[in-house]
Amino acid sequence: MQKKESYLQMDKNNQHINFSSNGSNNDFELPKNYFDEMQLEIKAKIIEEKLKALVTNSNDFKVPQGYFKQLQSHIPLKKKTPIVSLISSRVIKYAAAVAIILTLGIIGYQTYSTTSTADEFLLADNFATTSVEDYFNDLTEDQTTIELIEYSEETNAPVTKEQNTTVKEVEDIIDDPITIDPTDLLEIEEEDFDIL
Amino acid sequence: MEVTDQQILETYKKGKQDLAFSQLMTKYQERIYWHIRRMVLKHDDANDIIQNTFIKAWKGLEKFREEANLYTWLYRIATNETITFINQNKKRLAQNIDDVAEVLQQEKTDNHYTGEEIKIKLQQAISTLPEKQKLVFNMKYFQEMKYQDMADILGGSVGSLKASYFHAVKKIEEFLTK
Repeated sequence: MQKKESYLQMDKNNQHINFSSNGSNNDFELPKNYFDEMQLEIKAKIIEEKLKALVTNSNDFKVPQGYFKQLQSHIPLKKKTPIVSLISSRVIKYAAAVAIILTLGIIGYQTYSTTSTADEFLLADNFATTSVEDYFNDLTEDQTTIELIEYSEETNAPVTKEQNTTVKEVEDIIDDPITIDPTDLLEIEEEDFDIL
Repeated sequence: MEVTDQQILETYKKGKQDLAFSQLMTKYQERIYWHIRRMVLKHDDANDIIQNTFIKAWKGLEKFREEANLYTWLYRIATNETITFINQNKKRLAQNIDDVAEVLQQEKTDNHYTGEEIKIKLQQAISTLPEKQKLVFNMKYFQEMKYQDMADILGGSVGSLKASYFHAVKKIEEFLTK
């Protein structure tokens, strides 16, 4: 092939032949790599013929009797049932939007109502005097004693046990303004720095 | 008269899926079976693969695009299933020429193979080929398939398939004549 091309090139150079180097002096087109593939195909065919003379290509594999008749029944095919949606996707979208709005609304309402209750509770005016009085009166002697002992241990404060706390005394405690000594605050800050 | 691929697809579209599938199997099951069997040698293995092939075909028939050929589509599924099976069972399947001889002797005992000594030698020679050359050789030598059909099934160009077949027959000739 290469030799042929070189001859053609030589002839072309000598202006003996007036056609292109690939030998096509017409308008016909050939598939790409046609000659290379043709060579391979012919060579393969020659070897194949030799092989077939040696070993036939007849089929020596066998299948059990009636195999192909029964094959189809051995393949488990499931009937395809079309899935029909009962609710359209549009309805689902609206329902989802409503659900989200409702959820947000409930959460918002709960948050607001909880805050309101807490605020209301913190207002000193709303303290029912009877509630505080009831609390102290409901305490059993043992509970009061234990709590007082614990308190005295923590604060080193003297403990006096008075069982009959009057409403007036309770009101005095609540109304008593808390006074903080600035030096105490300084001490607390210094302690905090020590920890840090 | 054998139904055409077009008729099978029309039957399927009309909602007669079972009938269409039955026609598809009747038309192609034997060709597909032998294509698989030549790759795995054992009937039991070929039986498993062909069942998987047609189950996949049943599932995929709905989405089958008509630009493709039903015949090449089925062959492609079968080829992929076979290669997957071979890869999954590499340790168990016949890997060398001794294994091949053993498998074929067993198939003979089970009356699934009637080949003579030279045929067993040919199968041993085929077993030495790389996977692609093995496929190309089986499709061309035994099934006498056209290169273009092979290209549609296996992918790649006609030229590369011709080269693969040439290398395959050359190696087999050397094996048989040494």
